[in-house]
Amino acid sequence: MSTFSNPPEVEELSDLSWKRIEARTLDRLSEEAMVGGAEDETQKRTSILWPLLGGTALAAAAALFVLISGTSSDTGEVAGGETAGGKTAGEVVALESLAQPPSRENSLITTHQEASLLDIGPASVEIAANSSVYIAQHGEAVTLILDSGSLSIQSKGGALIVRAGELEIHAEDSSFVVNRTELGSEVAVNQGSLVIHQGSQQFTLRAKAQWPIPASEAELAAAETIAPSATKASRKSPRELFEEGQGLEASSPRSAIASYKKAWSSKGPWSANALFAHARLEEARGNRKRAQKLLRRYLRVYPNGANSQDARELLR
Amino acid sequence: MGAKLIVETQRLSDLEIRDLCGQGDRAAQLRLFRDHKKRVHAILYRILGSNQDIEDLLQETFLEVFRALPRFRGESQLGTWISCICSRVAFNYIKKRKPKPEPLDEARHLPVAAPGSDDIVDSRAAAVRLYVALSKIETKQRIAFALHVIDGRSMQKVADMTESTLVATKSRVLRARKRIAKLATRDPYLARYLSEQEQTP
Repeated sequence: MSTFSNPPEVEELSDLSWKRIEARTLDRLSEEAMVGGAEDETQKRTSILWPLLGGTALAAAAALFVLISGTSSDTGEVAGGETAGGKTAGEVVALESLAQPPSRENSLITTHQEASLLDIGPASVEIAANSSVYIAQHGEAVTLILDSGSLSIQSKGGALIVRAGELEIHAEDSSFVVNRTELGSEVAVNQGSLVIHQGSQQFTLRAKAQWPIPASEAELAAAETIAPSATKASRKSPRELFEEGQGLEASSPRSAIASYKKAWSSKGPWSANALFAHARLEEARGNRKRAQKLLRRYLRVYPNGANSQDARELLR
Repeated sequence: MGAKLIVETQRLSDLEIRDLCGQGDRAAQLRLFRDHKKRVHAILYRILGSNQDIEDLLQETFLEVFRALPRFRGESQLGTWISCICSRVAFNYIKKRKPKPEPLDEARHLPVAAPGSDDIVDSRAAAVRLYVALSKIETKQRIAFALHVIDGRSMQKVADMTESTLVATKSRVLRARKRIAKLATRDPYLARYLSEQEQTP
């Protein structure tokens, strides 16, 4: 054996995972820069950072933003009317003018080949490439309507509402990603928490959680919203909860099950382990029906998970 | 309809990227992240296998990259330099990592018996077995083996990435091979997988 002729394939990460990692990394970097005094806070609040296209700030500004005022069409195409600055709709904003933050009241922003970053009211927003977002600003309140594509948002207090399809997301002091696809809207929370309205239902999404969430988790999230005190139930990470469950299995299996349940109710890599461990413990306690239900759930959510083979064997 | 303004994307040199990132240019940071994320992910995956902490490790690697970037002098390509940092992050992770909880130890859940002659070795399960075996060998040997034998990088490249000499790298790969071969004598499933890797053109 010299080198492997057919090495194991690298498991790809989902786009949502990449967006989450990217947002977390850059958020952390910003925090470190702020601590180190590397950033001019005032400039940060007011500046727009444009895509790096030409290597210079001026060339970077040419990211095909088309800013218009008034209403926009549903498809994100430029609609008629005038911009806040009095320019005819659809007119390309002069490069020089991009050095200053344009008026963003009732603007449609469409990105093409490059993502763009902007600070707007209570949030820093990164608009992914090939995205279209309508911005409505009324005093302090800002509403972003995602028509297509993806947004990474760091809200810094103040009222921020993001609409993506049938979802309405209310955010304060949180970092999250919203992605709108043909199949629906996806949300991933990096920091803080969000309140999501879908029709008449309301859900609370915490850090590391994603939307859509599995049915049982949705029930949990909804329950948390109904009983706010329950939202403070546990601040332990899924991993800590999992390890807690491990430690309690022998002395207090019921408590162990409660810990596992909390762990697998949250998103993240330890969720799979916790779900399987819960199923295994129910099996060991003779609760065969419950165990089977959990194992089937495990296989449905993680068909290729590390314990999928065992889950299938236990189901037989 | 809005006219479209087309601007040619200018390729920035590694040093220009370094300088812009150093100035806190978010767009440059994004560019660096996106240009190198697949490379970093592939290296971490090769060294560690399927791993639950991969997202944290990716974040950690890029944070290390950004922190160290002012010290990048352009003596190697930025990608190579990032690869070095990446293998260092993987090394530290292996060193610091707590043993996994026994009940969910992946190895425990893999088939114990050797596959029958008609069985097809499930490559995914075999890969898990391989990484379980790798977890039992010395960290530097493991990294050298993963990057050279599994990933097919040249010994020199591996030496550069791990900031080691060529001789040390060859020695590590050799020792890792022997160790893995020994472990495979007790694991027919792994032995068969390694044998298939030899045979497959």
